Amino acid sequence: MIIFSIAQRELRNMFNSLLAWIVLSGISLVVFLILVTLVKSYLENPANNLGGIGVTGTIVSTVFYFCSYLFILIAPMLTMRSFSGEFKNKTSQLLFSTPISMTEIVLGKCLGLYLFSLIAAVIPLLITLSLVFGTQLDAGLYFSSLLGFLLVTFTFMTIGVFASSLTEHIGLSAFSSIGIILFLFWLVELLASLIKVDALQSALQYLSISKHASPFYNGQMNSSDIIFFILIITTFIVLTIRKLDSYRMQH
Amino acid sequence: MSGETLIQVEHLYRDYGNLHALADVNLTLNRGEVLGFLGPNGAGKSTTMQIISGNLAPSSGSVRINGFDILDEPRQAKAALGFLPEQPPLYLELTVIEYLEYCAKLNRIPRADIAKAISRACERCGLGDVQKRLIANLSKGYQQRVGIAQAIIHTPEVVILDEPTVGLDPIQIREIRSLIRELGSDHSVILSTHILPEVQSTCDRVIIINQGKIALEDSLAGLDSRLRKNIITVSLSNPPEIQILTNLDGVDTVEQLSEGRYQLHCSNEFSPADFAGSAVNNNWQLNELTPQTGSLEQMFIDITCSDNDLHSSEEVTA
Repeated sequence: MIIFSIAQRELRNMFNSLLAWIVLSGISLVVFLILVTLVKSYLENPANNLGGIGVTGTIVSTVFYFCSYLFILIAPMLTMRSFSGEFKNKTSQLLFSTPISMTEIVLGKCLGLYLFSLIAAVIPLLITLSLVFGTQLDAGLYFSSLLGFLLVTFTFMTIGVFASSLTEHIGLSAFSSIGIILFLFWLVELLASLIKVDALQSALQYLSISKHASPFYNGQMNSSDIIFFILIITTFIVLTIRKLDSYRMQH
Repeated sequence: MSGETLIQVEHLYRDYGNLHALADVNLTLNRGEVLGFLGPNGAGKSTTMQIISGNLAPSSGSVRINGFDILDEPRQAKAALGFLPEQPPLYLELTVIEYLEYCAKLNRIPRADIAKAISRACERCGLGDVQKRLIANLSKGYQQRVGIAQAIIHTPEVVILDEPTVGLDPIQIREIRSLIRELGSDHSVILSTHILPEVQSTCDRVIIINQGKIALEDSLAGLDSRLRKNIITVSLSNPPEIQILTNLDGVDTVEQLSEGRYQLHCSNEFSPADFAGSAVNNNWQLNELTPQTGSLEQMFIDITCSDNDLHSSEEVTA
């Protein structure tokens, strides 16, 4: 399967450079610090157990929530080379002159990055699982937090791949993906609060990634939220394919 | 030059904004043929190669490879194609074997055949000793060979090489050229270059492109006979009237260079021996008789400089 070969190449490319290892160790460190802080405050003041959501709610979900925040910066760093690098080194010519379609190329690249998200997810998963030795964990909430983390990071990765297909300048690619991610994650809600036109306001609110992500960290897996993520990921994949097709038309 | 047509390019146009990079380019490539694609820098060579390989879309016109249109049925068309761009598309952080394995997968070679395909390509391109080295650490000549290995790994019908010897030292150039000649025995090859000896030593047929238009298309044999239309410089101490020289057998026109020195534009019937004979008989006192065989280089410059493009004359020297 060509898609898997490309995904494998993308993944190995990340691990060949120092970047993937730095990112993974960075995540480990941050997760560890957050966990220790949360456990400490929980033990000192059990009243923080707001509304009886328990250890899983106050600690595990928060850890995953923070981790997905980290990917606002991590995803652009990992994806900035996806296409920009290929354009710059002219290796894109290898991809374009072999018998594979643009769709396969883009899906392969994205799959490789999703696999990285999965690998990264193992870190908060294992570290928070250590709580099992002291208390009972809520498996359902655990799972929905993990799902939320994966959906959010998959979205960020796809946006990054799209931004990377826009330009052959790696820095520009990273900046534009941070821009798009920040806009959709957070700024769009700010904008919505400023606009008083109802239809536009609710449309903008619908686009907010954080709004669709937060229910997962509270243990809610709404099909409408899942559909939102599938839609936004598909949109950016299609945009990337279109962009690459038109790449042959210009320059 | 009979045989199956593997590449058929028809009425190719390509514009970059207001610049017409290609205008009505037509070309065909038959099975087992090495086609030289010549032109000064900026003539549209690379653009044509990019379009044939599917990296660029033409503004209009069609490209068919092995009977499949590159835009409508890209997968079948590209399966018959191996392409080495001007800058070889190498992943420097991989070893030669890892890289070729990835290329083999991209070209949909079945998993079981990959190892065989890699060893065959390595053998053909003389990569045996460097298979396990990182591409980044290889010399430019070896990197170029890896690029060629990549283009032939799936034994495509057509191999397109865009300026494969640029930036190599003379020994490497000779090796790459003999590799190209070898490829010509079982692949059809399009070789784009601005180096003339390369064409003379490797190609069966030549297309000269200038300013986006095909200026000349001929077999190498045909080119040779074109070149045989000779110019002869003679110098006589006691010259006759120009008219008498013009009336000699095989002389088309006579041009006076200086006092007693003439340039005779001759056809193939002209015989220098006869001219020497008549010079003695008529006491013209022959001092010099120098045939000037036209070179491919001269012809190339004539064709490409017709629009006063002075740069091209510098660039064609090998």
